[in-house]
Amino acid sequence: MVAKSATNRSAKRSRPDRFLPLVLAALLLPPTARADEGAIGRGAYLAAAAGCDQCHTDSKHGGAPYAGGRVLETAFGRITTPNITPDRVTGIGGWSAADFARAMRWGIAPDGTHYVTAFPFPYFANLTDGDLADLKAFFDSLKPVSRPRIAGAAPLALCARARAAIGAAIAANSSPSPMLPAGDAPAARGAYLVATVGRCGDCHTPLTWLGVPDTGRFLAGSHGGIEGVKAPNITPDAKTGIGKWSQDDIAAALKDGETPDFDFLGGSMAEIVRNTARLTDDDRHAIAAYLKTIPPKVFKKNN
Amino acid sequence: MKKRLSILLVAAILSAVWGYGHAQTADPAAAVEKRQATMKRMGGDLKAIEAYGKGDGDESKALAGAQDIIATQKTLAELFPKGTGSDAVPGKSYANPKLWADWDKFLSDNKLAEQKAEALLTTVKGGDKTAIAAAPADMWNNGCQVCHKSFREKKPT
Repeated sequence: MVAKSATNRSAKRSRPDRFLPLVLAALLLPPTARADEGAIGRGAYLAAAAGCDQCHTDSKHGGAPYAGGRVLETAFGRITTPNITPDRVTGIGGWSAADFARAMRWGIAPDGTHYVTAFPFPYFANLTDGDLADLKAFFDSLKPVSRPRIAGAAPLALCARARAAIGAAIAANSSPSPMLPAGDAPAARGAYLVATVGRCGDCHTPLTWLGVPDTGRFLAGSHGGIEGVKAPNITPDAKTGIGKWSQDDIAAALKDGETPDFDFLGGSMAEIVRNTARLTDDDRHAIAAYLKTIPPKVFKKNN
Repeated sequence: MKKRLSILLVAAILSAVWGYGHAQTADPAAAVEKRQATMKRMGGDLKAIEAYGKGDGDESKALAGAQDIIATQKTLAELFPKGTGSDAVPGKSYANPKLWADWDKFLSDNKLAEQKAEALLTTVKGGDKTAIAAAPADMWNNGCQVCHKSFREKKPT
């Protein structure tokens, strides 16, 4: 601020009035661009942590990052993921900040339709305003890619959408926000990364019949997540969870996929490790610290 | 006699060429499955040894585990037939194709793991529980992982 006003004064002294609009523009633009770069960087980190590219990229067929097109078999039928590059016609380029926030937090598209919870908006409901703005800045900074939207299977999707609308209404009142550990900054950061940004519960928390996460069994493992994948219990239960893992074990597993059981995280989690490997060491330890604080739950066969 | 000798010679050369380095496989996906099941079994062996060292396992399982790892290391190359890398069996195989390009390095990593496994068995037989509890991590970090770090991909591509 100080530097800016000093430059302003010298500019006024040395330049004629007719250049004033140009001078003002020159003064105003660079700081704005810098602020955006910061936001884009933070947004990129969040997008990496959330693994947005994982679903929104058709990597199997060499699709452009974030341009969508990956086909997912979900509880809601077959879904082709949408293009989230800023292409104005086929992507989210025409979206306002409010459109973006509504889609992320409530799962409602700008045209008023509801997303099914294959898009984990119940988790993103707790994203801070700042983080949402940073994510939007990041997506806006991407190269627009034109990839026309492919519609999903119609009849089943109608039921699923109705169910998702009910689910969304309920999720609004019972979003899967965990109890924040008071006075424990790394664990609180971990809670935000696990429950909101990293949407770990998307696979690791069983769903209720409405297709929303069962908050009472937070991270207790699920038999049928996205693409029917089984996800283990990651609460600190010693027998059915990861109670025997130390904080360092968890952080190491998130870094290189290596478990303390002389094994590797496989299947879908191997994909997730690609996201968690992009986090800072501090954030991986924060996640680990938080996972040690949540209530242990016994894995149930009917999860 | 001479004719028989030459037939034998040709047969020997043919089989040597056929068996050189690494054989092909008829069913790459099945070979990957078998390999991964074997790796998992050895992980289980290490867990059994660690449990015994920590006082909640039993000696016979620990001994059998160490012996299984030695036996498996001795024939490990057979689990890596050519054409079973992540390029040939995408989404299932985690083996980087450079493993076959650098087969000698693979074999030397394998030899190292075999020696570590022999040492592991000696430790288990020694009966020192503290040493036994620590030995699987040594086998894993300085035996298994040497080859994993060279040739194991973190995730299927």
